[in-house]
Amino acid sequence: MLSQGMPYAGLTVINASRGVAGATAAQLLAGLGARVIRVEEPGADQSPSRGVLAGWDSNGDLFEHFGRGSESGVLDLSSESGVAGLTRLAERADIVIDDERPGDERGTRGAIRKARARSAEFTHASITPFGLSGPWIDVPSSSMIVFAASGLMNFVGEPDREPLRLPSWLVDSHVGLAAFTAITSTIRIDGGSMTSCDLDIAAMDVLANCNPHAISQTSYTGIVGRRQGSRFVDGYPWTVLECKDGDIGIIVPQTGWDVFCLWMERPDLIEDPRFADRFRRRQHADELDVILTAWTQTLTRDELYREGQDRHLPFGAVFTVADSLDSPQLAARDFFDTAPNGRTRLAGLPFAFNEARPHVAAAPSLGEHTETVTKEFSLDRVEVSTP
Amino acid sequence: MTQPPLPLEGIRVLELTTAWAGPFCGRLLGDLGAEVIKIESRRRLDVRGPVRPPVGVNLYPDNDPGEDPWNRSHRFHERNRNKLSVAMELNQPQGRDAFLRLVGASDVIVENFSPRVLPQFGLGYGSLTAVKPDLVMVSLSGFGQTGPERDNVAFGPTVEQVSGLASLLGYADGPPSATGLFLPDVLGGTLAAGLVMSALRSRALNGGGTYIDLAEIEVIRWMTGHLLLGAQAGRPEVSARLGNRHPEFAPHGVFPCVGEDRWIAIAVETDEQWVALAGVLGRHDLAESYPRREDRADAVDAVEAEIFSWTSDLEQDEAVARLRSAGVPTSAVATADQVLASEHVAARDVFTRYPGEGSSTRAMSGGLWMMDGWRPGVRAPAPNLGEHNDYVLGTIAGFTEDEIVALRQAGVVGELPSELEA
Repeated sequence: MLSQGMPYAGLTVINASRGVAGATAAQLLAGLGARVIRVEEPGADQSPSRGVLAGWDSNGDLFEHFGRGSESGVLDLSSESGVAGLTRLAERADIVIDDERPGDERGTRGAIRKARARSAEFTHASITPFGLSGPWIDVPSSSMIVFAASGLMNFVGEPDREPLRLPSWLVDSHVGLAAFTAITSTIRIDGGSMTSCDLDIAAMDVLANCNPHAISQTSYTGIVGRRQGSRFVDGYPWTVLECKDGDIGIIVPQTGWDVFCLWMERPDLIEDPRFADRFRRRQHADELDVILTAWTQTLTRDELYREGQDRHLPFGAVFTVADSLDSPQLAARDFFDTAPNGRTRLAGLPFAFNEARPHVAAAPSLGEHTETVTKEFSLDRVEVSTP
Repeated sequence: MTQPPLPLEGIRVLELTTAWAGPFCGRLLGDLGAEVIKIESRRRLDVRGPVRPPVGVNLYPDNDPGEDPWNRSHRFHERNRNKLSVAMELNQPQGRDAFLRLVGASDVIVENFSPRVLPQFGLGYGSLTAVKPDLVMVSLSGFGQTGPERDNVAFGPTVEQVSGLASLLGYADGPPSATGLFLPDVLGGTLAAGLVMSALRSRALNGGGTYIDLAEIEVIRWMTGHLLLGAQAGRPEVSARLGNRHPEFAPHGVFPCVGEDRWIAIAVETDEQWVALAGVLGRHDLAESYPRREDRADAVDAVEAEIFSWTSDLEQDEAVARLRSAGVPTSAVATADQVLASEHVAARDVFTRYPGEGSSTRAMSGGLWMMDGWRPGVRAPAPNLGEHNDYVLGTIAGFTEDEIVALRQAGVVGELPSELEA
């Protein structure tokens, strides 16, 4: 949708991707004023060919959330005319996003490259698991697989159990955030016209380069980091504990130790040599957990959260997804949008520009804008399958 | 591939940050060519490590803290390459005034202090735009700049807990867990860098500056927004902790191999991949017994037990090779040294080289993407504390030599941690 005064007003994004990553990037661009046209295939809402956003989510929640901000135009990419149509769209676009994997028969990337060969100037953002080069270019993959390959998975979970994946589609939307930032780096900050740029956005690269410690820790010290559960490697208390009615995250920085001990009514711990500094507290974490758990289980989650924060300690109540609906903080910041049904709340875009939170349109139905896109871009007509 | 013109050449960024989110945003901007000036306090050092590290604290090249350990921490180097350092106390009037002179000569401010801090110094956005009307500024925080919880103290794990992420993460039979990756900080820093670039474009097109308020809890809530729909529709199961299982695919998990802490991840997303996996196991009967995803999901314990039994007798590399050659999505759960040794990583220059002693270099995180075949990376090492005081205060802010001497004598600027000057 166009918004006067927004940085990307007047730019056209063709989203030929299927996954959450491309949709994430596209929604952010839409929120900043870009017009986003999602290219979909006939019958996409009935089968996995619409990709993960609908076919693999039988309730449609993924698309209802991540599909917002886009128009939907249907092209039959199994036909020559459909592929030619994608080339024509790309020729007139400013940004084209695709996530075709090697071995995929859609020919999306080829169609986009034809537009490039015709000297069209646009940013082509290719999102793939392992990139467009290298020996793993065609390795079968998924978000958990790249997470494992990147080295990040080794840091998640308990030290004496199997490593853990990130929940839901977080890896994919993380890659989408990186794709958004990569795309913005190709849009001229002086306001000038687009130039050609090919972005190779590999999920593996994004993840491997986001670990705050691992690579330089190993290259500097030879230490190979590994998972610590909810603990931190060289500081304590830093964990998640059970409390009276739920779970509480507690972190006590060095400067907060005395305050914390007094709150627990355990001034003796201040002078205990086992707990003299954060490094020694980490060494004695198991002993400390016995003391802490006996205390946390006498208090409720909200008590611990509120009173810990009142003492300037980074305590965090372990809230659920649904708890967000009752969050006074999110309500005060006008975080939620409302779905077209007038009742369901949708998570809004996660930032404000000059105190105003941008909004995006509801997710489109399949082919809702095919007619207008076809006319505007002079494409061959495609019959849209009705459910 | 040679370095192309950098998109942010000519842009000057002042960074008032600590820990990870703010420095990561500054790192991305610096990697793209911006001149990033990190304003540091000598009283409260950023992740430069302890001034007098206890024995056993391993943050340094070859575990040698050297004479100036605060300049040698790998954590600081990783987050702050390509930046300049000015060590200046903003809580002193002369420091505040010096900072305002820098603001007048800069384009962007990135900060991740608690919301009350900058206004306490008299450096809220209104004060800053008085000297730089078209200033772009991003404030990254855990909870945002407004609202009843804006002053909550938030580390990365705190945000994971309050945003709902921790409730989703963990073993199916276990408690909520932390990622151990400071994930909200990474996500916030990544998004912030993109928003800064979009605000710079807005400045060029529309005139005027932009104040960006980015709350990490909102970033996580937005990235899990589809689960919120499920929760409202009476589908609480969408928020259940599943360990490594997946609501749509089966089998989907992590399995042990021979050796200590050696694992592989296997993600079967199609029935064809399942037939291939069963073939590799030499168990075509499994493919016949559980032909559809629903069949495998209903019998997931039994299916996983078969895979467990097979992987447990194999070396990690062999298990991965056999599964991959059959077209089954799989990977070793790689450790950092395995990633560093990866042929694929080397072929794509995923990591950058950081200058060490003499002509040596060490591997370090590189740019997150490639543009026209080139990957952003290290152009200059991370700065020593206050290394660029003279250059920044003199050349950029226009202080005379005598004025800079006076600032040093007043303790407003310096090059050593305050702890060493006490």
